[in-house]
Amino acid sequence: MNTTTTFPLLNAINELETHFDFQAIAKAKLQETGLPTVRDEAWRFTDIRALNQLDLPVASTDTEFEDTDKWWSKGIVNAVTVPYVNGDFDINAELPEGVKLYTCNTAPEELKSQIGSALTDDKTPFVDLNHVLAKKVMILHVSKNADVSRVIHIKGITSADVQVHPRILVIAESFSRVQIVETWQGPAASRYFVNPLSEFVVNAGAIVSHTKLQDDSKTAFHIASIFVKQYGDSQYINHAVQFGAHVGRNDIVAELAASNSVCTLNGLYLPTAKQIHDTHSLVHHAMPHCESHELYKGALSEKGQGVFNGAIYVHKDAQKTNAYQTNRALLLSDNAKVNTKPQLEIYADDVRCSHGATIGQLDKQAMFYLQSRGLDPEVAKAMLTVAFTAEAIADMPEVELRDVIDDMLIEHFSN
Amino acid sequence: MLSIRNLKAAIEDKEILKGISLEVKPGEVHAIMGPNGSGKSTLAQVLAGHPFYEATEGDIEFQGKDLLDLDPNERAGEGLFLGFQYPVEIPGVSNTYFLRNALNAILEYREEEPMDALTFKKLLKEKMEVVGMKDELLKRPVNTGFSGGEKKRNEIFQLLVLNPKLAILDETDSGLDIDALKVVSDGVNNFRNEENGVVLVTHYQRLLNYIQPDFVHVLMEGKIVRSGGKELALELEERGYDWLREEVN
Ligand SMILES: Nc1ncnc2c1ncn2[C@@H]1O[C@H](COP(=O)(O)OP(=O)(O)OP(=O)(O)O)[C@@H](O)[C@H]1O
Ligand SMILES: [Mg+2]
Repeated sequence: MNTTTTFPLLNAINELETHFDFQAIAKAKLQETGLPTVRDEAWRFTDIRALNQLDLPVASTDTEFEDTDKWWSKGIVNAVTVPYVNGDFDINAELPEGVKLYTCNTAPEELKSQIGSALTDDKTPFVDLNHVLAKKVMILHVSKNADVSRVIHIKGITSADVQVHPRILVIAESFSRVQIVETWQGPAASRYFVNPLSEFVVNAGAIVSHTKLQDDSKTAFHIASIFVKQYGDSQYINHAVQFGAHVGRNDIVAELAASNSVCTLNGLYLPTAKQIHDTHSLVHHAMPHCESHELYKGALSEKGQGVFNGAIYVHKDAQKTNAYQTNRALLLSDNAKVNTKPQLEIYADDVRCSHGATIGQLDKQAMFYLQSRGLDPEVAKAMLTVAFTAEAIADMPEVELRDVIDDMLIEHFSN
Repeated sequence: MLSIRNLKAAIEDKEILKGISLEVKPGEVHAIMGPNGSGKSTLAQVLAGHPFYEATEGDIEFQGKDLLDLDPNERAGEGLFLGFQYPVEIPGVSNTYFLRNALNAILEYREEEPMDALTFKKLLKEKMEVVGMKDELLKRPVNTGFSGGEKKRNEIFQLLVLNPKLAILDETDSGLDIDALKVVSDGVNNFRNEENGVVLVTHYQRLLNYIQPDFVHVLMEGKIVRSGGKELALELEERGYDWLREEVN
């Protein structure tokens, strides 16, 4: 197949010289098979033709960008901010005690060798694209036993008319605790493509909170891949909130690779206008006595489309697994749509798994009750919708950020 | 303040109210009694503007305005309050947050300044004492997991905080124990004054011992078949509804 004519987005890789084997392999694969289309099962409801058609240059140091200070600062108190602008960051950024920042050529060998270690075979072609086009890998190393007191805020910013492939590796050594917040933004109403690939290596007994807020331009494309590898007695808590992008997608793969680890994947998707918000999650229960909890809520308005595909894979050694998954969607307009598909594959016999999905509308009696007390229908609707979404972010440890998200939700649903 | 003239109303094309006329003046308490299914709640819901019901004929004037022209929230702004027979549970919205927004929406409708947090808090405290509401219920989501009696108490609490011109209370006395009944009645009496009106829907003469009505109306099969003073309630208590049914037919 001539992938360049079908996928102008891939023009960026053709001229590129690769430096490593894995890059060369990824490049060849992309040139061979191209990017996903609605003919691929995992992309059936997420039409990215418009993205595939974009012939965008990869952001370079020449790319103009606005002052990083004017971007996200709300609700993240006591945080250390690491701007990640057009795929580049300042290696000398100040970080709290217990955390060190590296990139490939500054990282010690034992860290560098962990790049890619959390990746599984469940990779989309966008992981390959990131392999080929990522410029500077951000490695955050949290040392053993460190209890990091300040939130680390990775402030992702993308300029108009470029494509960017941020690459993040977080290594939390044993018994460390850390909170990472990612925010993603770009100039309003501008068009760009951001394709972050993050890996989290959560070692024994470590506790990692990872909150990701996607607030990109409503005409941009945000396709993210998150891979988590958890070792014994560790906890990983993810909250992913999607507000922005024309197409926003998170592919989250968590591997519970040792016993007694707990993985929580919660999130919100809020497509409106013609936005598509897609969440594909996959939890591998590879070892016994692990738990996974997943709660997603979607509130969709206008012609918004939601896709939720939650897979739980219980491998044969994973006895005593507890895996729970719920996806609830609220359709606020007749034209909004959600496609939800739970996928359970269980190869162990002593497990507790459940999944549930509901699609509903606003409770008319509740609407009337609120209105009869004087509340304008729009306010009543916002109040009920925010109440509906609350559960999915209730456990977000960054409480101040959650309050900001609440305000954003009220504003989002009030117009 | 309220005049209903020959009101007919239907739900899903089924006519429930078949020509009701009623006049409520400031300072008056009207009791509406009648057998199950006679249309009492329908009347209350139509007055508050429930979208499931359609007023097919007649008109309703409230405070000089055509009530049927107003949206439910505008009716509240004009000073109408409905105490629900079955208060709705609203998970995720705290009672306090809800009430504060409701009160400020009504003030805004009247082009008055919103109430500041401190004054609001004082108001809540004062009214909580009247109805014996526990602090804890204020923080909980609206009616969620409340017992039947707690829900009714919460309706009266809202009535006192929002302080409307006309309160329509649909069986606020049902499901209350004797002490709660006393508390709820005290609440209503606390609300009553020369300028506002109360329409009480009830099955029990007992309530009318606590809240003395000026008029009692009997609703049967979508019509008011008899109106009288408070002695009518006593008569109903004694004789039931059958004698009226015979008289109507
Ligand atoms: N949603 C509905 N669909 C069809 N019929 C309805 C609906 N709601 C009410 N009705 C009917 O309207 C009639 C009047 O009901 P309404 O609730 O007004 O009675 P009520 O006088 O309040 O009775 P109660 O004393 O039991 O509270 C009943 O026959 C009832 O079945
Ligand atoms: Mg009733």
